[in-house]
Order: sequence, then C-alpha cells, then structure tokens
Amino acid sequence: MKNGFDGAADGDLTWYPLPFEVGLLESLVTQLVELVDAPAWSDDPLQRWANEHRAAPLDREDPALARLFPEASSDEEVAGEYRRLMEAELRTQKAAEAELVLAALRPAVGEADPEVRIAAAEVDPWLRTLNALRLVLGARLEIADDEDAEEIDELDEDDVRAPAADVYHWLGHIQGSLLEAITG
Amino acid sequence: MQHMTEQPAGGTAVVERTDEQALGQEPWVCLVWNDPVNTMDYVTYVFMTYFRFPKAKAERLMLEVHNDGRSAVSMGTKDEMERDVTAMQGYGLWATLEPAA
Repeated sequence: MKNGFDGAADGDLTWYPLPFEVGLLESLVTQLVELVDAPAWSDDPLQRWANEHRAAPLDREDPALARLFPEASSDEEVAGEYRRLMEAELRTQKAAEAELVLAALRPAVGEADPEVRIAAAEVDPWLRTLNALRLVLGARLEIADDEDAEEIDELDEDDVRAPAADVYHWLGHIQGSLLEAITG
Repeated sequence: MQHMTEQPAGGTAVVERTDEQALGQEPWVCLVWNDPVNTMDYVTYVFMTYFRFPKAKAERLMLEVHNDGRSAVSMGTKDEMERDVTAMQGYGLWATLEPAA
C-alpha cells in the first residue's frame, strides 16, 4: 500500500482513508452535485431532452461554475453554439461521475476502518471529480494565477481562508496519491 | 462570403464548393490554457490518457501550457475539435476550440 491506496492486478483500487476523510469527501461531492444542478436523468431520450430544455441555465456569474464549464471558444458565436449543444450533457456527466464517487463512499461512511473500492473503470471519474472539487475551491479561494496559488500555499493558520486552503491541499494530496497509485 | 457560381458559356453549372463547405474543412485546433489549479502531473496524465501521447510528448505539451500560457494539443475538423474540447473540459482542463491560424 502506498499513500493510502492499494492496487490490484486487474486495475481495481482500494483506498484506506481516515474516517473523517470519508465524511468530508462525501459532503463536498454532495455539494458539487447540487452546484452542477444537472437536468434530471431519464432513460427515455425524449423525456431527457425535455428535462434538459427545462433546466435552469448555468449561472456563469458564479466563478466556480464559470471555471467548471468554461466558454469553449474565444469566438462568441462558436462558444454560444457549443453551449447550446453541449452544456446540458456536460452538466449531466459531471453529476453522474460525482454520483459514482458517492456510491463508492457511502458503504464506508461511519466505519472505524473505512475501505473504499474504486473499480478500474471508475478511476478517471474519481480523478475528474476530485479535480472538479479543486477547481471549485480554487475559485472560492480566488486563485486566478500562479502567484495566488503560492499565496494560498503559505497562508497563516489564523487566516480566514486557512480552513478552505487545507481542504484544497488535502484534495490535491488525494488526487496525487491516486495518480501515483495508477501510474506508479 | 458566398461565391457567385460561375456559369461557363455552355450553360453547364460548375459544381463549386461553397465557402461554407470550404470552411468546414479548414483546420481547427484544441487549445489548452494554463491555469493555476490543475497540477502538472494531472495535466500530463490527461494528455497521455485521452490522446494516447507518449509520456515525453505529453510532458512537453504540459510544459508548453505552463510556460507559454497555452498549447495547441490537437488539430482536425471542427467536429473533432469539439470532441477534444469536451473531453478536456470533462477532465477540468481549460480548453477551447479555435480556427488554426
């Protein structure tokens, strides 16, 4: 085992987090699902289409949403067309991947020695979800350039941003450990 | 931007590509922009995983993003670049599609 992750030959992973880590991650991922506010899923494509068209548009005034779903071109027309075609699908994908992570976390909630199973096919959804959480926190911490990032790395303990920065660094650590576990 | 279709003296219409069709074949690129949150290891992993680039190429492009502020990581038709941008945005990279200059 390395950095809390244990890999099997078939590519499946087991994560051995501390109990508080399970609860914290579950809470953050749940908030991500709420933030993304994806159109309701339906197995019926027509119903899905209707849901997508009824969905409230993304609030791009929110820097976290603007960063999760950036404009897809500097050409406004191209960006607008892309938004119309793809935005609902991108939101649905983000939410579906977050739900995969939640499903893996739930059995471990409240356990004294939690073990979280991550199937090989779920590794990328995990990486993408952890990354989305870092982007959201990065936006909340107003990390806009490399200098901001350095400042956040060196906050005083009593800085009001310190708790959020701790979570941001913790997410980076989990993501880094997961990457290391699969790439060696 | 529409061409007048030229009519030769014989009256046979010359089949010409309209500008729109021609534009459809202009190359586009998928640009990945530098951002202070995504880690170098993660961006390298994404380039290796999605584009199947060898590690050396993925790292070179990642460094290009980091040092130059952006890098064109793929080139193709507009549809292909929309797919690549969607994949990159799915990974949380800040990607856009632009006409290849």
